[in-house]
Order: sequence, then structure tokens, then C-alpha cells
Amino acid sequence: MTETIWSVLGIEPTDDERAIKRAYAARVKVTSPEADAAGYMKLRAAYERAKEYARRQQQRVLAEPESGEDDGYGDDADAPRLLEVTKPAAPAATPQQLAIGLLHASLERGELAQFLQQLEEIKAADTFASLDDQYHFVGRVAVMVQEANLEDSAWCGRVAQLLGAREHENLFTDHPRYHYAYDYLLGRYEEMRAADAHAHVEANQDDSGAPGYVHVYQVLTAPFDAERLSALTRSQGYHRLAVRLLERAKTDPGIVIPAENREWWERTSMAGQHRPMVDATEQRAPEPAAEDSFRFPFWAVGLVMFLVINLARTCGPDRSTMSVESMEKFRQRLPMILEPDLVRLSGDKDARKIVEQCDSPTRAEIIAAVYSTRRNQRGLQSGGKPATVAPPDSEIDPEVVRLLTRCRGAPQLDANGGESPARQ
Amino acid sequence: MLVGIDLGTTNSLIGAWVEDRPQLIPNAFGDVLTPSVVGVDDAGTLLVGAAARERLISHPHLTAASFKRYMGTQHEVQLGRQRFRAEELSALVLRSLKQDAEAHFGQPVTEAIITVPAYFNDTQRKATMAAGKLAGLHVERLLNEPTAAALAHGLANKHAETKYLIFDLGGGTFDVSVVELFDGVIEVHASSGDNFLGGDDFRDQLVKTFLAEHAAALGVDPLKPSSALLERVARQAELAKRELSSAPSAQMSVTWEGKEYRKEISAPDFERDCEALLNRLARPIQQALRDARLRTNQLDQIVLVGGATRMPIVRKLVTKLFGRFPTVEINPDEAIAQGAAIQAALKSRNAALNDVVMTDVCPYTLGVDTARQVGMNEFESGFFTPILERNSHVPISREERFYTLQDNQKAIQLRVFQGENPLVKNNILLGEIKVSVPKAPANQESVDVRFTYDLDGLLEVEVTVVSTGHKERLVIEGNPGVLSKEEIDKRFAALSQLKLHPRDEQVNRQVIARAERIYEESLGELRQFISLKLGEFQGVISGQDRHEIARVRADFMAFLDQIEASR
Repeated sequence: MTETIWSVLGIEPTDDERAIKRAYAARVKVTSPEADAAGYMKLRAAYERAKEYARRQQQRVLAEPESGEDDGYGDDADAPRLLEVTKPAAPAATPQQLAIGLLHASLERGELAQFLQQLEEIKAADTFASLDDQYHFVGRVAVMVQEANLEDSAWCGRVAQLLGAREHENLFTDHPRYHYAYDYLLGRYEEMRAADAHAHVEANQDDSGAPGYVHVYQVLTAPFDAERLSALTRSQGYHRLAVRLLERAKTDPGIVIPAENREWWERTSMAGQHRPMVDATEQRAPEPAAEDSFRFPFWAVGLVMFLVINLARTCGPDRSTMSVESMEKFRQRLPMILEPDLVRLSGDKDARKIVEQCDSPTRAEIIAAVYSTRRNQRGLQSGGKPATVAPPDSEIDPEVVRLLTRCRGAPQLDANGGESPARQ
Repeated sequence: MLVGIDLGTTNSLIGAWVEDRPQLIPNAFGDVLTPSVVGVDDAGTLLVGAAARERLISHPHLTAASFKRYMGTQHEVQLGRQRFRAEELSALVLRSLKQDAEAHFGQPVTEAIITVPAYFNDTQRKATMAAGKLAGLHVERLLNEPTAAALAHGLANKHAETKYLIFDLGGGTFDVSVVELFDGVIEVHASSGDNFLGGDDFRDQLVKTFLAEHAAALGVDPLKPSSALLERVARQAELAKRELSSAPSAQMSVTWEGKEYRKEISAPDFERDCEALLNRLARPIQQALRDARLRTNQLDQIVLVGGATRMPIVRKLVTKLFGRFPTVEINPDEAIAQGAAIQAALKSRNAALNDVVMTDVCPYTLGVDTARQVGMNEFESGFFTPILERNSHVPISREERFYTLQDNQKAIQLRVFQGENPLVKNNILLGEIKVSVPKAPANQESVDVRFTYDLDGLLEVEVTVVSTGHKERLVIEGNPGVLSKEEIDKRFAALSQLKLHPRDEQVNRQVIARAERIYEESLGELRQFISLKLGEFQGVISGQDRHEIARVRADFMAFLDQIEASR
């Protein structure tokens, strides 16, 4: 008999999470990580797959009575949809909905300066102090800004900055819609900062040749981030550049380094902490933009590529690419990168063409759905199977199919106000 | 005998599983907290703990504290004629704790479980292992600090079915873990943290404000004061910080070169000054919650651990973030050491705990540096490709395949990184390995890279060339943060030569050091009086009459208490 996740857990297939947990608890007492590492790894993989199975089954059951209701945005089922809050505020609106409504109104009227001012005031008032409030507020503002699809990149960067920029990086991984929107915003923020750094390099021709200079400049002038600063101190090349920049900033008013960054640097380098260990920047140019004649050197043939996973990963908006390419180009490329997944999940060879003709909110939704399904499937693979060998039964995702169908009949939805998931 | 040790930035503790419960072992002073401070006295003998801490003021050049922050770096501290690495200083603290346990149990202690911040990286963990070896201890397991606290909390409520969050703000590091407890299984779902944030930073904020105000009068650069002045202000700042835990304001008073400088700090001012530090607490919490796929209202409790959580401003922030009050059931200073003692019992399969299992995660993403082809002959390097995603349950082993990028490529160089950024330049380099591959067209040759992350939180990397079956393991070479085996042996021999004051003499040493410190902090006539009394006490010590020493010491201590109380 072949071994299944259920035989490892010692139960019949079930979507009862409690039963799965109970079975796991009984097994793990014997196959504990201490006593039997290999056995535990197998048990753990089975347990996680079983829980994921149960979760998805439950979602399907919940979604069936009102089809079209499932937003496919992950498990924040109780989070109010964007649609609710973008409508004029209902009488019983929460402070958060009011604030979002206010911001949305400014955005619709195209009063961008006022939008920034309002956002600043809302942040200063500290109304959304709790973690959950912060999460949804930041996520929704990001979605709103992305959907507005404005050309003004610097303005978007400024919004990201007011929201806290990298403070929220990697936080929305369980909420594809927020994740996609926030990554877009961060991309524009990085673009803004890269433009600033390049302007600085232009103005200081003498230094621009040094590889990594732009990177060091960006880290030092960015809001305080201990991890990134300490990454600088770990390489001799970066370390030297940073010392030089800090010294120059004392006399050059054009270089604005936050006091916190300087203090951290003085304190740690004074104590000799994190003295550079391995020099990575010396031989390799980590900043291709800073070196015009960057050619792949033959002595550094140690650079490798894992094709399948890479292909899958490139679709997560990649900030490094953003700073080089224009956003517009990136947006066009996105469905192309996703194509293999899209075709696999929809079972439709022409899926990409359909997506390209879609209105932008639906397009964003499809991308989010593909992203989340792929992530879930990836999470289920154990022990290094390449992503292409996923079990055949999980290939076609009904959510993606449903969205694509909607895409084909998109016009009447657009007429309905252009907003994504219709609630009726 | 197997013990559990909390090797902290500020204080260290040792405990063991005795009579079916975790028990902490007192040091020579009858105290379970041993300050993580090491010093050398004028005779070249080593001092560890309370006695050394007192000498931070009077002998800053002969004393070292907060060295946990340098773990995994090659930074050396000069004490007198010798230089010490953070591993060695930690080893001296461990040795002192070991002696306390041996005196307590009357049997040799040779094995230990040592706790480390969950967010400690591979290099820092290896350094902690080395510290154990240098202290003559076999380190059975490295345990994550918030996980230890989760164990202590979980065991106290082991029949419950609950989800809780451990908020661990120690002296130098901040950790968060989201934990679920069901059917005797204590399961850590996600951990996150900040390796550069702790109670010390809140203290330093006070130091900064104080120096900024008095810099002109003191005639110093507020960013670079002398170490003697810095220690003196830091001590007053620490006292003021503690004072602010219960009072609406606190007074800092520093005596320097015959003059007294004062500053009054109110609680709201302190909170405003610390805003930037407080803001940094939110992100790791959000990260851990989201990785565990939980919302704040799905948590049953927020458990505070670590001495710095005593600060009202921290508690206020936690209340704000979660919209409810946190729990403080266990002594925040002792929870981690208790957890370590419980883990010691789990490890030795104590019968009382056979219905309890604990599972942990790896808090950060581990992967390799890769390049991508972006044009015909163009490549972009420096991309981070994860192999183990953060918050995977440990132990875990995963393999991925990588291909050559160029025709006739002779070797593949793998650089191993830890971090969350898509670009390796923002992540931490752990080591590198170079593997030769047979010449072939691009994409024809490949290697399987296997990452194995064990229960200690240490990473093993194995690379197999697919076409030849040749295997290679990652050896981190030239990483000065990690001591080689030979070096550990050499330093072990050197450390064994160093004399530690006998345990029963430590109390006298501490009283003398304290008197010296108070002398330094005082002015005028009082100084002479202290000096007189100190001379008297030292005379009695040389007489070696134990009863007489005890009597005079009690008298002298009462006198010192009186001086400190009257300030």
C-alpha cells in the first residue's frame, strides 16, 4: 500500500481540522523532533498538507452557497472589501472607513497634494494604532493608489514613504491583493530613491565610478534600518564607501543622512562591532547600474540559476528590475512572466491574451489569484521536487477560471462602475 | 548533569529540573541573577558578576559588559594586559554559573542547554556553542529564547488549548514568537525579531539626552565621551530608567571631576524621546502574526518576557497594538531560564514530561546568490533565491537544483545568505562554497543544493554535482566571526590558566567594589569617611577570621546602603 498523508497521520481523509490536529498530537509524542528527526519531517509535511487540504475544503464549502462571493484574497474573510469603503461612507462607518473614504474622494477629484496632506494627518493622529487596523489601512491605501493608476511616480513614492515604506515589506504575503498593491507602491518608492541617488552621483562625478556607491548612498540616506546598515558593515568595500560618505555629509548639505543612521554607525564602528568579514564587493560589481561596461566575467562563472523556480519567482514584482525599467514596461511584462502558471491553472492556452485585454482591476485580481495559488501549491511540495511536478489534480484552479470567464464578459462589469468584485 | 542556562545581555541565570519542576540556582550572593559582566582586578584575577558590575564605574578599562552584542564578530575587548573575544567573556560567565550549580548540587555539571535570541544568525549561534566549549560545557542544544519562555508558559497551562504571543524584550535583543498549545504540543508557528533593539537602547537614549544637555559644561563631544564618563552616566541612566517604571519622573545626577550635574526626566518626555525605538517594536510583531496567519483577536494572550518589558512605555505600546492588556504571569527575568531547565528535562526524557512535545521554527529565510540572464550575453547577478523559507518547522531538509549559465563553465560558486530581501546585498552572507563541474554547454550541468537546518538552528549545506555524483559540504572559511576547532582548544587552555576568585570570596570582592563605586560617585568629606571604613574592612579580611569578616561586612554594607538611600 502506498503511503499517503492520511496513513502517516493514521486517520481517514477528513476536512475536520480538529481531528487532524489530534492525530498529529498523538503521533508527534512518539515521532518527536528530538527522537526521530526524519520521521518528524515526514509527519510534519503530512500534517501541513492535511491542514491545507482542510482549509481549502472549508473555503469551498463556504464559497459555494453564494458563488462569486469568494474574493480569493486569502483568509482575511472578515476584512471589509474595498468596494464597501470606496462608496460614500455609510452612517455606521468606522473611523477607518471614514478616513479611507476621505482619501478616496481626494483621489477621485485628482487633488493629489490634498491626499498627501490628509494621509499625513491621519498618520499623525495615530487613529489606527492597533496592528490589525494598521495592516488593513496600509493595504487599502496601497490598493487605492495602485488602482488609480497614476503616471506621477514621485507622488506614489511619497505615499509609500508616508505609509512607512519598507516597514511593511514582506508583511502582506498572506494577502495577495494587498501584497501586489504594496509591492507596486514600494517599487515606485525605490524608483524615487534611485532617481535621487543617481541625481546625486551625477552631481558628484568623482565618486560615481565606485561600484556599490549608489547602494551605500541609498542605505545611508534611507530611514533607519539596522539590518541593512549592518549588512553594509560586513563588507570592506561598502564599509569604506560608507565612512567616506558620512565624512562628506558633514560638509556637503546635499547629502542628508538621518541622525539615527549616523549615531548607529558611530556607536557600532566605534565599538568595532561587525567589522567587515568577507569582502564581496571588491571583486564583484553588485550594482550593475553603476558600472557601464559590466560584462559577465569568465572567472566568476560561479553564478547559477534554477530555471523553474526562478521563472516562478520573477513574477513577484521585483524591485531591482523596477528601478531599472519603467513601470509601464514592467506592467506589460507581468502577465508574460506569469504565463506558464496562468496556462497551467486555467487550462486555457490563450489565457495571457485574455488577461491582456482585461480591465486593470480584474487583471490585478487574476494576478493575485495566480500568485496565491502558486504559493499554496509551492508550500505543499516537500523535499525539493521541482515546481513543474505538482500533482495533476490540483492543476486547474476554479478561482482563476472564474476570473478569466469574467474577463471575457468584462464590458458590462466596467459599465457598472468599473469596480472589481461585485457584491450583488 | 544537564542544566539550562539563559546567557543574557545584562544578566545570566542557570537552572535545572529538580523534583518535577524547573528550579533556578542561586549564586554566591543568594541571587538567581548573575550580571553578565567580567572584570580583572588589580592583581590580575578575574571577577564575574555583581563584583565586576560594581567596578564598571571605578575601573571601566578593566571591566566589560553587554558583550553578547559582539557575539559572532571578531571584536576584542582589552582588559588590563589581555584581550578577550565575546566568546571568551561569555565563557567566563558560564564558568561562574557552572561553579554555582556544582556547589548547589555537589556534583560536576558537564552538559548544558543554552538559550540564544531567536533572531541570532548562524555565526552568532556558532559563537555561543564555542563559548560553552570554552567553559568546559558540552552544549546539548541551543534553544531560542522566546521558545524557552513559551515552554515555561505552556507547561504552566499545559491542559489548555490556546494561542499566545511571546513578546521578549531583553537587554540587547527583541524577539517575538507566536505559539499554539494543544494536546500537550507546544508549537511555535512563527518567530521574528530585531537583533539591535533592547533595554540598553532605552537607557542609551537617556544617556544621549543627558550628554546633549551637559556637553558644553562637561567639555565633551556628546557622541564620543570618554569611557569613564560614559559608564558613569549610563549607570545613572539605568537607575533613572528603573525609577520611571514606577514614578512619574526621575532624577539623574552625575558627579564628574568634582562637580555634580543633574537632569530631571519626566515619563512623558522619556516616552517622546523613545518614540523611534518604540516604533521599531511593531514590525516584528506584525511579521510573526502574519506568518502565523493570525489576527490579533485570535490570540488568547500576550505574554511579556525580558526585564525591559517592565517599562511602562513598553506595556502601554503593547496594549495599544493589541487593543488589550498583556499578561505577566511568570517573572519576566526568569521565564527563559525556567524554559531552558524544562528543555533540559525534555532532552533527558524525564518521565514527568513524556506527554509534552515542543516544536520550533527557523525564523529567517536561507538561500543562495543567483544570476539571471537578461539578454543574449547579459547577466544580472546578486539575486537571492530562497531554499528554506522563513518559519519552516525544524528540523528541515530541502534540496533545489541549479544550472550552469555559460557554455563550458568550469565551476559553480555558491554564496549562502540569510535574509528576506530579493537582493543579496541587503542580506547576511553566511559562507561560500565552490564546486567544479564538467565542461558542457550552458544549462547542461547542474548541482543539487541541500540545506539542512537542525534543532540547534545551525545550517548544513551539501552540494552534489548531478552528472558526477560528487558531493561537497560547506566549510565556512575565513569567517573571522567563527573560531576554528584548533583555536577553541588553544583558547580553552589559555582561559583555564586564568584564576577566578574563590566562590566564598566573591561577596567580599563585591562589597569592596561597591564601596569604590560609591566613593567615585561621592564628593568631599563623605569620600574620606568611605575610604576610612573601606580600609578598616580590608584590614579585617586579611585577618581571615570568617565570623569577624561577616560581622564587619554586614556593618559596612548597612553603612553603604545608608549612603545610597540618602541620595
